[in-house]
Amino acid sequence: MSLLSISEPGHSEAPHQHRLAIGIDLGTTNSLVAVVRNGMPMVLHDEDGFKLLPSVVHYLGEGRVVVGHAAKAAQASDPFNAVASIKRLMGRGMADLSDAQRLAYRLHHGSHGGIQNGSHAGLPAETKQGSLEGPKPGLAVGEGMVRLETRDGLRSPVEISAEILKALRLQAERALGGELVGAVITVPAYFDEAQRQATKDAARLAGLNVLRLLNEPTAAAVAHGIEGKGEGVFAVYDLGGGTFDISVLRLSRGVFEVLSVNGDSALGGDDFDLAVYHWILGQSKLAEPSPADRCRLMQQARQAKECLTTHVEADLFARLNTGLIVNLTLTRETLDALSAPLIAKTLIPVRKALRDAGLVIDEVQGVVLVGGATRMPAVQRAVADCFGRAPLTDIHPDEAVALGAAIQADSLAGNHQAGGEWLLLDVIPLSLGLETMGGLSENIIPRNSTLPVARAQDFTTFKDGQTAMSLHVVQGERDRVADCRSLARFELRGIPPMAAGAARIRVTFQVDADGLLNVSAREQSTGIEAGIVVKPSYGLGDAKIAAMLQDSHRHAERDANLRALGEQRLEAERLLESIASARRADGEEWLSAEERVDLEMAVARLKLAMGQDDTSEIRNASDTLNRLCTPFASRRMDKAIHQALRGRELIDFA
Amino acid sequence: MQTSYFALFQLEPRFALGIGDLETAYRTVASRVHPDRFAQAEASSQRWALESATTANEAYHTLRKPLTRARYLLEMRGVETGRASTLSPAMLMEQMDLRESLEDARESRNVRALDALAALVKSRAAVLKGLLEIQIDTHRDDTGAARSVEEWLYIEKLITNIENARALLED
Repeated sequence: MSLLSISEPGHSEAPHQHRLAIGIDLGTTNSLVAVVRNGMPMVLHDEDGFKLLPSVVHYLGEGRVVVGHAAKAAQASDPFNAVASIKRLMGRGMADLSDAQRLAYRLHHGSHGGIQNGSHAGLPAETKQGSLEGPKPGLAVGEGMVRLETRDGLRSPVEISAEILKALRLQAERALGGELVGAVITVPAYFDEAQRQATKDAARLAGLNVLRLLNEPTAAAVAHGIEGKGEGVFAVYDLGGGTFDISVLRLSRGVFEVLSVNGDSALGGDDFDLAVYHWILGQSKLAEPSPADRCRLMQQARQAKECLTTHVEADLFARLNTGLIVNLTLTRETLDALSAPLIAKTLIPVRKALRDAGLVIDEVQGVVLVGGATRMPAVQRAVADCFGRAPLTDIHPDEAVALGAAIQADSLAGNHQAGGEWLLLDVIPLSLGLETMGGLSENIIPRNSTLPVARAQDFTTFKDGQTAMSLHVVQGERDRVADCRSLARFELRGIPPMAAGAARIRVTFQVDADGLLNVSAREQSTGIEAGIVVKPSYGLGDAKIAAMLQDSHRHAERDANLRALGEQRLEAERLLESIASARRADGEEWLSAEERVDLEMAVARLKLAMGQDDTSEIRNASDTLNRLCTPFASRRMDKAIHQALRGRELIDFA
Repeated sequence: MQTSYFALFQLEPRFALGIGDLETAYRTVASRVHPDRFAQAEASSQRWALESATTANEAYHTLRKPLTRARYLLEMRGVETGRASTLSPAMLMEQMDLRESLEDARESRNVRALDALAALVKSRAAVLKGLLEIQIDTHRDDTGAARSVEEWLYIEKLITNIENARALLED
C-alpha cells in the first residue's frame, strides 16, 4: 500500500503473503506477546506452556542473563541481581523516585561516566535534516536516567527492559518460525514522552522494529471493541503492577476515538504489596530487614494479596536470616482497609478524565477492567460503585492489552484488518509547554489533543545580528516550569543575522502518532531552515551516543551496513514501482512537462545509485525523488479523498 | 494552495452546522489519511499522511466547538478576534461582577454557588451561540459577530475558572 499507487487502505500490495507482526504488553510485573493468526488474535506460549513472562531479569555474571520464571525464583536469594519492576524506572531519574523505590534497588545517578549503553542504536542515522527524532530519554537537568548496579556492572532501565523484549522476540520467532516485520509495544497511556522514548529505545536495542507505541487501555479497548462490536462511550480502568490509567473512548462505526486519558504512572499493584509489607513490619515489630528478608516478605505480601482474591483469609510465613519467624494471618477485611486509600487515589483521575471528556458518569455505557490488580474484589467493587454498573470482564484482564496490540500490529504490517476496517484515534496524555519569562510554562499543545497534532509558534530575536536562540520544552499541567517535567532544551542555530526583532522564526512542534515530539524551525522572511541542536534534559548528548555506538556495536557494524543497504534498496524499489504504477494509471495528467523531466532525471539517478550499492547515495536519491513526488502524490490523493467523500471508493482510481 | 477547513470536509462555510455531518466527514477523512494507513508506505506518503492527519484533526476540533468555529469563519472573512478591545464598558462591568461572584464562591468553598454560577454563564454562552448564527449566517454582520465572540471568549475563560475551582473542591 503506498500513496502513489493508491490502493485500498489496509490492504497489502502482495495480498497472499501474511506479514508477521507481534503485539507486546511490556508490563511491570509480567509481559506477554501476542499475534494474529488466521484472523484471530492469540497470546503465544513459551516452551513450557506459560503465557505470562515475569518481567524479571537476572544477571548471572560474565554477561549471562536469565529472564522470566527462573529470574523471579532467584529474587529472594539474589535481590540486587534479579531485577524486577524495571518499568517503574523507565525514563526516570533519582529525584523522581520514592524512598521505597530507592530501597528496592542499588541505584546510581545516570550522569556517572563509563556506562555501556547501546540504547541509541541507529539514532544518528534516523535524525532527519532540519528536524529531529524527538528528544532522547533523560530527566531533570544535569541528571540522567538512573542506573542499577548489577554483577555485570551498571545497567540502565532501557537495557534491562531490552532483555525482557529480547526474550519475547525470541519466543515469538520460535513460535512463528518466520521473520518479524515489527512489533507494537504498549505503554501506559499516562507515560510521558521520556518514558515513551525510553521504551522505544529498549525495543530497538532488543532488535525489534517498532511499528507503533500503543496506549495500554486503548489496546484493551481494541481487543474488546473488535470482539464485541460495541458502540458508544466506554471507560477502561487499567490498574497494572506499577501504573494506573483511565481512558475514556467513543467507539462509533469502526473508529476508536480516545476522548481523554488520565492516571498515575507511579501507582499500581506493587503499592498494594508494599502496604501489606508495611503491615507485616508493624505486626512483627520489625524495623529495617535485610534486602533478602525484604524480598521474602514482599513475596509473602504479594502471595497473601493474590490469595485473598478468592479466599477470605491468607497465611503468611517466612523464616528470616536473623532466625526470626514471621507467621501471620491477613484477613480480607484488613487488606480492604489497607487498600482503601490506594483505591481512592485511582478515583481522582477517573473524575478528571470524565471532566476532560465533557461527560458525566451516566453517559458511560461500559467499563472495561484491565491489569492484574483489577482482580482484587475491593477494586472491582469500587469501580462498580463509581460507575453504577458492573464492569465488563469478557476478555481476560491479563491478556486484553497484548491481544489489542497484536491486532494493531497485524494491521500496521499491511495485512487485511481483522474484524473489518477500523481506525484508532489516540490522544497526548500530558500538555506540552514552553518555558517563558519568570519560569512559567506556556501551553503549546493541550493534553488530550487528538494525535497527530502540531502547533506553530513565532519567535523573534532581541539583539541585532542574533543567530541562535534556545527553547525549553516541558510536559505537565502545572503553571511553573519547576513543577513540570523537563523534556529537552532546543537550540536554534543558523538564524540569518538581521536587526533585532526583524527575524520571524516559526517553530513547529509536531507530535506524531506515537506521542513523540519533533521540532522544526524556519525563518519566515528568508525561508532559511534553522538548525536545531537538542540538549535532552536527561539522557546523553549526540557525541556520547556516537561513542557508545562505536563501543557496543563494533562487531555489528558490518552487518548493520549490509542491512541498511538492503533496506534502502527495498525502499527504493518500492518507490520506483509505485511511481511507475501511478504513472501507468493516470499519473501523466497530474504532471507538467517540467515536472516530468525532473522526475525522470531523479528516477535515472536513483537507478544508477542502486546499481552501485551505495547506501547513502541511494538514500539521497530516494529523498530527492520523494520530494519531487510529494506534490504530485498530494494532488492525486486530495482528489481521491474528495471522491471518497462523495461516496466513491478509492480503489476506483488505482 | 490552502483549502479551508470547511472545504476539506465538503461542508458549507456556515456557523449553523450539523455536528453529525461534521463527525461523519471527519471520520471518512481520518480513515483515509491517518499515518496508521501508511505504516508500510514510502517516506513521502508517510510525511503526507502525518501532515494531512494533523490538518484533519485541527480542522475537526476547530469546527466542532461553536466558539472556535465562529472565530475561524470570521478569520476567513478577514476579521481578527481575541484582542478584547471591542468589549463595551457595560459588558466589562458585567464580567467583573461575575468574576467577583466566582471569587466569593471559591473562598467560601460553596459548591452550590459555583454550580449556579456555571449554569448562569453557560446560559449566556447559549444566547451568544444563537446570536452568532444570525450575525454570521443571516446578516453577515461581522462587526457584531466579532463583539459576540469577544464576549464569549471572556465567558469561556470564566467557565474554565469555575470548573477548576470546582475540581479543586471535589478532589
